[in-house]
Amino acid sequence: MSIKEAFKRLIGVLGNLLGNIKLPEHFHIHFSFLSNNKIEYKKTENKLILDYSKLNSKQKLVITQVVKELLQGDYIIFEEEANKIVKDIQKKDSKFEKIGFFKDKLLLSDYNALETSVYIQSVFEEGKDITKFKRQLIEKFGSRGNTICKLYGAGYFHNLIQPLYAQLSMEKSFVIDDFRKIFDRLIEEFPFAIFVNRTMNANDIIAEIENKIHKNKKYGIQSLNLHGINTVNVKNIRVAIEQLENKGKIKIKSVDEKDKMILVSIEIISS
Amino acid sequence: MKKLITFDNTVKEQMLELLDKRIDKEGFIIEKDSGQRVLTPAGEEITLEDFAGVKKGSEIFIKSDISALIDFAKKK
Repeated sequence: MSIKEAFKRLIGVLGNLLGNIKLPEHFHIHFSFLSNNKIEYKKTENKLILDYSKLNSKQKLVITQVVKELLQGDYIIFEEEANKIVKDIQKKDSKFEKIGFFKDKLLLSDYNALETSVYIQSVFEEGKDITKFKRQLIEKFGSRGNTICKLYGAGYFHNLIQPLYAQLSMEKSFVIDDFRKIFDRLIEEFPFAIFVNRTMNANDIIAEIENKIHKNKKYGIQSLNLHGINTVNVKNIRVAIEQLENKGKIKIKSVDEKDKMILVSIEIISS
Repeated sequence: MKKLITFDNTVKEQMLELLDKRIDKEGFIIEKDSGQRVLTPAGEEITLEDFAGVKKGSEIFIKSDISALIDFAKKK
């Protein structure tokens, strides 16, 4: 059965259900729940909507054969919402191109987590809910994936990790594992940044900053960035850095706050 | 995406019935005949909730999580 014949057969079996509807040779087939009808045709979209559960056994049998035939002919059967997301992903192709640099440099699972992070960040920037996507990211890539997402969202891949790779790769003895070892440490400890979340109060933030200061001394890292989103986190960050500055432990280099987001750069004062 | 048949989230089970698949007690998609769990190209078992679609003769299952959809979007 060719594709043309498959459509013809479908039209044939629907027979009386079509009434006055005149279907073209090809149309988009969509399965859904219809409250009053067994089928519906949206002419402007050239879309035939079928409620499979309401069809009789002969109609079901033919439709099953037709769908299977179309699948053999390179058709894809796809959930509508997932299809919308795929279209959105394809529209954002240029955003994915920007991380192409990392493709052969990161482990595949890290690169996949980075791609997912690119999409999540783009949805976040559109002001849409990302809860479901973040949950899926963590389910698939664990806390490592979550960290990659945070680092990407804060711009560290392009501002720090890419230049770091460029610098390392200039060494004559450079091998990709040199970069991956440092990347691992960045992901496991992200010594240069703290991402404040809703579970942290000002005292927790102070404790985390002091913890990073202690660790960073070992590596000679003199600065630290604090990231926070939402009013409460912004307020807690401000309280924490003010207290630490008053104690002479840090110096605030810059505070960038807009749209309930804050980025504070602090300098660690050697004691 | 030209050659496409779509379905609503609410009729997922009917689509599986149409493809000779069903759901086992633990919510995974299985072959109606053999009872064997179907796998994605990455070798993952797939639940009804995770089911996003099928291509090439009802053999290649597509998951609905964002990472799988990115992978699918790039390969198309």
